[in-house]
Amino acid sequence: MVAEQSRLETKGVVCTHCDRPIDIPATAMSVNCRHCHRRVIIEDLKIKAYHAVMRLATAGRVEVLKKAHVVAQVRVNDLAVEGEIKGDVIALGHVVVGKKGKITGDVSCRSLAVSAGAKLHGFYRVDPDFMPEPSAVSVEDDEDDECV
Amino acid sequence: MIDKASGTEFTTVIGSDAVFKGELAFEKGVRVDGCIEGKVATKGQLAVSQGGKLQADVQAGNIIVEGQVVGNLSASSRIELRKTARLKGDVKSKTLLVAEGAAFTGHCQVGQDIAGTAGASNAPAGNRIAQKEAMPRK
Repeated sequence: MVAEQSRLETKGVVCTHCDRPIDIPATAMSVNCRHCHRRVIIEDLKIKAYHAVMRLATAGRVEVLKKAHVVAQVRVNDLAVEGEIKGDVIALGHVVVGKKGKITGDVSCRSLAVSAGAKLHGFYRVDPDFMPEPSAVSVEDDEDDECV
Repeated sequence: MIDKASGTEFTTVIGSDAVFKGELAFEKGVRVDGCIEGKVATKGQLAVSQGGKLQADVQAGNIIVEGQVVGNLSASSRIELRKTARLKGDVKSKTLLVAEGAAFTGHCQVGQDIAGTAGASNAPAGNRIAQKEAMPRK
């Protein structure tokens, strides 16, 4: 009975492509968005080294560790930066920049915590009510995007 | 909450019913409970308390914001935005601390290498933010 209940547990996330809310199984690692039909990654990621992609997107949490260097457009739920990010960041939750963290690019998020020693360059939009506007994304729109 | 009892830290206090327009310069710390429009410069600490409103470009040693600020902030040492802070403007400092709940829109230049150039920007913050927001995003 308990096992059945846990199997049915769901949680709400926002699609990283079309920004529409979707309900997913609580244990899912990735799902297909029911609005835009594109693959949405849910799992948490830890970046440990140099990582250059067009787009780094997950509906979970991303940690950029001390020696990591990310070159990408970043779209996440929560973000922790101890290394370096070059590219624009959109986070629906909390962004934490550690004392060795560096972000070069525009950042939009709901809350931001910056430790002493961090380096930030770019346009910042920190708004507790921040929500990206739902965009109509068709499958052909950005097939060349490399998502992680 | 910015400590109102510690008279030693803030030698100047702009009261909650006071409104200043123009350029203000201080030698030591100043706490703003009221409203200031124009320019503010101090070598010490500037604190904008929860009810305080600042529509000014600020150059200071340390800046603590709990109230509303529209304008560019430049600090030689540190800028702290507490959870009730609302800031529209650019930030230039060695260190930035942002508490959860604070709202901030503007360009940000933070790092140890910023110290020498802090306070150089004089362009109105509102214009630059408007330009940035008007730019189309893909």
